[in-house]
Amino acid sequence: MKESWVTMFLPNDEYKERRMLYFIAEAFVLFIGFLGVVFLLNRFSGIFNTESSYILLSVIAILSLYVWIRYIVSGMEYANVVEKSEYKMELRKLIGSTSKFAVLFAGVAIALKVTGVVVYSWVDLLAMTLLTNGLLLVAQFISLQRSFRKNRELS
Amino acid sequence: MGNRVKEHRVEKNLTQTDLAEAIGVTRQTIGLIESNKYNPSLKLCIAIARVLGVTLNDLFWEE
Repeated sequence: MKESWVTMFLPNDEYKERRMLYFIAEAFVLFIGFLGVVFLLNRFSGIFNTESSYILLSVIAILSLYVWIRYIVSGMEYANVVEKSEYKMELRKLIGSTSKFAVLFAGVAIALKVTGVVVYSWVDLLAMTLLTNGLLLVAQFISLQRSFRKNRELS
Repeated sequence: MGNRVKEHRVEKNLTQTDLAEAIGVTRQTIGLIESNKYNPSLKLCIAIARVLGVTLNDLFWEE
């Protein structure tokens, strides 16, 4: 029985669901610790008074990245990839989906630049697209590798 | 704590994928249960027992 609204953000598989809950709980504990450190630093130096919005953004980014990286390293994303043929098929899919995302990302970035919503140079735009998609591709590749290795061990 | 999920699955001529699909989990989850690296919920234990046609005692009880 699902008793919490948070279950709509969790995978259906029981093991994945439980692990994700651990990761989210760990991120929450880190968040509390981080707030404590910020509170102390602010009390003694006042360093963050003028930059509270950057702190807020960095907290959101760090916590989201923490859960994402833990998920990737856990090797549970590609839970059904055991055979070499399945691995190769997933690798092809992964490259395809990352390429699609790169096109979409660049499209949105160009639209924002052309309409003047955000101001940045074409070099910035290219670098941003390459960096984001490069990181995504590497992360997905690591996830696939670790999942494949873990699944082979369990078979 | 050990279990006899693998033993009964093989007896029934089911692969990890067959069992996983029958109870709605991933193959990795079955592998983890069989190698005692994950303790399934009671609900999942019952689902496994039903698919394999055995009791919870047969699967998880240690003499």
